Amino acid sequence: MKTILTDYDLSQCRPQGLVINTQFTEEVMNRIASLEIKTQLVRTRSVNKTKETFFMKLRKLPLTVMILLVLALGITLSATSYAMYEIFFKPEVTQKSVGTTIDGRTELAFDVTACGDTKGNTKYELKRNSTISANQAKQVLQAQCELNLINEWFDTVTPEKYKPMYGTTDRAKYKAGQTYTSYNATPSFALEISSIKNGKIRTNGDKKYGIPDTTLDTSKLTKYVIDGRIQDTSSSLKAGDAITALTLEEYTGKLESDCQGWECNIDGHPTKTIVSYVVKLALPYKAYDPLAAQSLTELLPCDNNPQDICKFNGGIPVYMGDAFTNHTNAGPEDYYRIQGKLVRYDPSSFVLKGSSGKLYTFRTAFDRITDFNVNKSADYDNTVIKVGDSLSVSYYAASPELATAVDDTDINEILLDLELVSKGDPIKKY
Amino acid sequence: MKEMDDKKIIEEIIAGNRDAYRSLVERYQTGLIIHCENLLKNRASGEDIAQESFIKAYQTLQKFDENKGRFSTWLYKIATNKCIDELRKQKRTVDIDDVEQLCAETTAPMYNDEAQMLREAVELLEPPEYSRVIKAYYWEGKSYEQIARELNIKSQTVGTWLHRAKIQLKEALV
Repeated sequence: MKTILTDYDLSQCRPQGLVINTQFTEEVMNRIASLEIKTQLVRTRSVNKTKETFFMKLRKLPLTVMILLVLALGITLSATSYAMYEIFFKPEVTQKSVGTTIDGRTELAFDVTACGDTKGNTKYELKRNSTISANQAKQVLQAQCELNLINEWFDTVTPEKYKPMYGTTDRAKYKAGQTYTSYNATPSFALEISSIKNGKIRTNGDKKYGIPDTTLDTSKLTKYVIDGRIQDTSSSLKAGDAITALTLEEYTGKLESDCQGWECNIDGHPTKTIVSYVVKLALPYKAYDPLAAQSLTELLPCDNNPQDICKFNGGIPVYMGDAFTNHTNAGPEDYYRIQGKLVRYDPSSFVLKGSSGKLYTFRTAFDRITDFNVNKSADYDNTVIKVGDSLSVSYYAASPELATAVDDTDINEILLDLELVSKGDPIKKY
Repeated sequence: MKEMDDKKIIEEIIAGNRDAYRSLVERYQTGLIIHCENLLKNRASGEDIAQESFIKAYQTLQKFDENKGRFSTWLYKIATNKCIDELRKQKRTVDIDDVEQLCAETTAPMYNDEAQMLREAVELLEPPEYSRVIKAYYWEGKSYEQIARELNIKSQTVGTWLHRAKIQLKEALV
């Protein structure tokens, strides 16, 4: 037994299956769901996916083509030498149609050709308690795409040493007692300038989200991307402009113990903070409001049930099953999700109807819907589930043929779908 | 029932199963909230920062390399940095010794037999109220105030009982 008894030890020896703070878990999961629109990069990246850079592609070209390319590049640079300093983050978002979803909400279809990893035709539903109108949706989506592109660019201009999670390091050579420096790069959210004076860019906080007013301490090292040009001065920025920034931080301290792998325990005081880039955003600040982005829900095919549509609006846990731990060898192809209207329920099953009209039957050990209504409803403002309500179920199935008749032990979770824009909204069933 | 390891869960998440992240949140939330609470000396702020840390970890999960360290260590490092940032925003000074001690202590691995021994020791605490506060605080993720209300005692008493319980546990495990 370890000689030191820590808080971590005590929390980690918790028996499996013990009920914990489900509200905390739900808040984290709901926030992740509502942030999906802003974090599409995460959802679509594969663990082993390596991005092929422009230069990697160049290396594969035949020599003659390479020579022609170099000549063409030389001519282009001599003709328009200023152009190499230009950089634009211009997403191409075209609104294709406005319609109505089967749930009676406004459906907006866009063609997106430059939005980070999101491409092609995308459909969104406008939430009923949305803070934006259908006419503003295109601008809001454009704003999110612009932030995606800027964040991708920030990745490319962040010096390698500020990416501590990337690549292998030789940190193992650093021993306890030595002084060590670690590095961190932080892109900001969209900010609205309130004033600029003596190199300090003050920005307005946002009481809605508890964001305090903040100040960016710029320096000679700070570069500004304004109207596509990388500049050394902030002279053309003014109060009211929307910006985003990349800040680099260094933490120096004495090591408590030897570094192991990338893991080094230091005190973590930032000893150096550099505002590396400040980018002026193309649209008015209100277009970047997180609540505006969260007013749109992407309409996506359900996991492994692609004929049906799933929306992630947040939900109340009706039942949390053990399927996940029962299927330790299951792969992504075995994981299913369906969202649909509750058609009927009884002590041994409940049935959902997906957006395609397909029926999904879930066999249950007991009446899980009534169990929620009787025993859990009080925790959620006495919300009661009725026939016709929208539920989301994630579950495991061995094949698509078995995915419409599911056993209790294969159910991962059942959620009652809500229509939330912000986590502080009162509970309202979808 | 065998608990799925962090590596497998992370593979599932990156493959597109967002719900799998719930298991990691459930597994580490109690300890992480306490870690942040200890650094910030405030339960509500500790919960907020723990929540932010889980979200940050999720958003950057593709950067995590399990060959270079455990998920819990990475998560705690994110949380520690966030706590320090929070303290700076509040213009509060950071006690270096506190942070160093907490960081060093936090995530050393615990093996199944050690966890089992510790669980048994918790069950044997005397008086039984010590066992109740340990379970409520460390296993059920309740705050001092919640425990105090449930047991009809003062918050300060919760702290005292936890302190005494930990002394007994240390003695029992030597």
